[in-house]
Amino acid sequence: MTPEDASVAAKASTKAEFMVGRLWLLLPATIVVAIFFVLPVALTVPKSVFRDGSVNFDAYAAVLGDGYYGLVLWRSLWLSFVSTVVCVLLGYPIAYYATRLSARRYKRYIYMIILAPLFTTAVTRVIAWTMILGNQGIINTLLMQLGWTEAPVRMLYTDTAIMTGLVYTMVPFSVLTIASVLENLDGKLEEGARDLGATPWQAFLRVTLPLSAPGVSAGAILVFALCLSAYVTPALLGGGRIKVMASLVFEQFMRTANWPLGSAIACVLLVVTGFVIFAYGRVLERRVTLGEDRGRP
Amino acid sequence: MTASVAIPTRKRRSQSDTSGIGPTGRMVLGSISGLLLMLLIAPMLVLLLMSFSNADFVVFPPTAFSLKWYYKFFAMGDFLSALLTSFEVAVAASLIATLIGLPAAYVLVRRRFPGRRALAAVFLSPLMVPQIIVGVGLLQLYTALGGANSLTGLVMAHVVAVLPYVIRTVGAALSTTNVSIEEAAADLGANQLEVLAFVVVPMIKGGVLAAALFALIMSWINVEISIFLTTTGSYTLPVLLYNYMEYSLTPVVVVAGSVSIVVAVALVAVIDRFIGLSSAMRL
Repeated sequence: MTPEDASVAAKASTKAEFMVGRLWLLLPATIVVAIFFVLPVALTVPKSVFRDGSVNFDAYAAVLGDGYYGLVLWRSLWLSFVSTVVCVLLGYPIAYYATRLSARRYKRYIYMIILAPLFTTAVTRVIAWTMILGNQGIINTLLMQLGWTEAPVRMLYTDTAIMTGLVYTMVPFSVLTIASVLENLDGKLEEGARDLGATPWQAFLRVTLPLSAPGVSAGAILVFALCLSAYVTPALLGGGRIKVMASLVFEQFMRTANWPLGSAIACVLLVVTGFVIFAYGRVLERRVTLGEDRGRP
Repeated sequence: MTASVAIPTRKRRSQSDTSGIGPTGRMVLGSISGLLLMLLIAPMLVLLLMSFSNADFVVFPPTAFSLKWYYKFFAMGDFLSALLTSFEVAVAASLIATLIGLPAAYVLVRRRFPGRRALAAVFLSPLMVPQIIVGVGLLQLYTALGGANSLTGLVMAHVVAVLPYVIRTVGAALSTTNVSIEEAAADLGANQLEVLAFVVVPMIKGGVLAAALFALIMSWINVEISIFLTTTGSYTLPVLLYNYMEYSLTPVVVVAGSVSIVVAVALVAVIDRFIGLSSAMRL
């Protein structure tokens, strides 16, 4: 290639670079997201402070001053926290097994099983758990047939039922985030620890676990945020009696039609999850969410 | 610290076993994971099994099996119309999300411009912002515009909710392709849309299909947004099921749940064929 050829090629490619990926291609998606996502979410804030044409914070005073709402907020946080801990404890061994130990051909099926709950509606999962936990459900039927209990044990419509449902729904997320970190971990580090005399357990505790900590915290934060904003699972498995933040929002909008109050609760929920999402972003700062362009030479 | 370190003269393990936990540890961990995986899949299997029960109530174990409740399900007008609504909304939302998401993902991957990361974050944020908040926000917006409970409104809500999946899946597929082919096409006079339609899409058609199916599934199973934007007569299947579940668990509900699972599993299998689930689901 002569120098002239090269410069022609270079000029052509700069021209072509502006030809592909014109910015107006972003326009349709941007408009749709602005109208149907950004605007409605942003609207929640003014709706919570405007009433009868004037600004007032009555709704917030009601939410933050009333012991009942504080109790519900506290319960939401507590249920989400416990579910998150259980999700990480269950998710870690699965992620470890799937990424480090299983044969390649099984990996695909493991992923399919992990992902299956994500592709069914929250209601379907609740139907399944209602059949398992209910008074005439599978567990109670077994317990009674074994003679371990006379009357059915009350499991459905309790905090435990809600947490079971939340954990079942969120375990895939914790497995996926932890697995993505474990997958990129250099196995040689662990091997080195072993060669230097560490027992397998020591090697895991002092090498692998600390190295996978970012995945664990990212997974935990994600699961916590999702638990906190879940509506269907706590509403149905709690039998409508055990309220969480999300069910209060639903109630104010769909049942009692107190929209300012509903918006205020929604804003509190938005702020709490926003804070959690921010923490998630900080943990994952160096990870790229979109595929990087490896096509450009 | 100055004491000489005794280096154990153990045999190096085989190259494939980098975990270094030995056969016993491997077996223990394997059984724990196996058990947990079984717990993940068991509720779905129970649901499918129970849907074939002949009994008039949801009782375990089923004593006789039949398709009785499936016939009942398909004979019930509200379920059938909800099934149809869900299908229409999912197809429309998936098509629109793919049509607008593909070019957006393309620019986000191919071009560097100010605000690119922020824009990508906004496109992906429906994954993180509580759906219930999107739902109430849209309910207020539509009510203000005088069009609550319209099918179009529901479709557009789903488009936004499934757009992140399209952008991510297409973005992942694009990052493996070579930009010079597109530049060559542009040099030869193809305009931007022609490059997209005749060069990019054929190169990543598996990824595009997977993205569309992803969008289809996520719309098909959505309930937390739909619940605010539908009313009697316009219910989607998950919302109708939710309403039934607020009262009681009946055999027809179990059948409807099973139908929903079967559709989802079929779609997942197709996605896996085209792009591989693990690569599509990277978080």
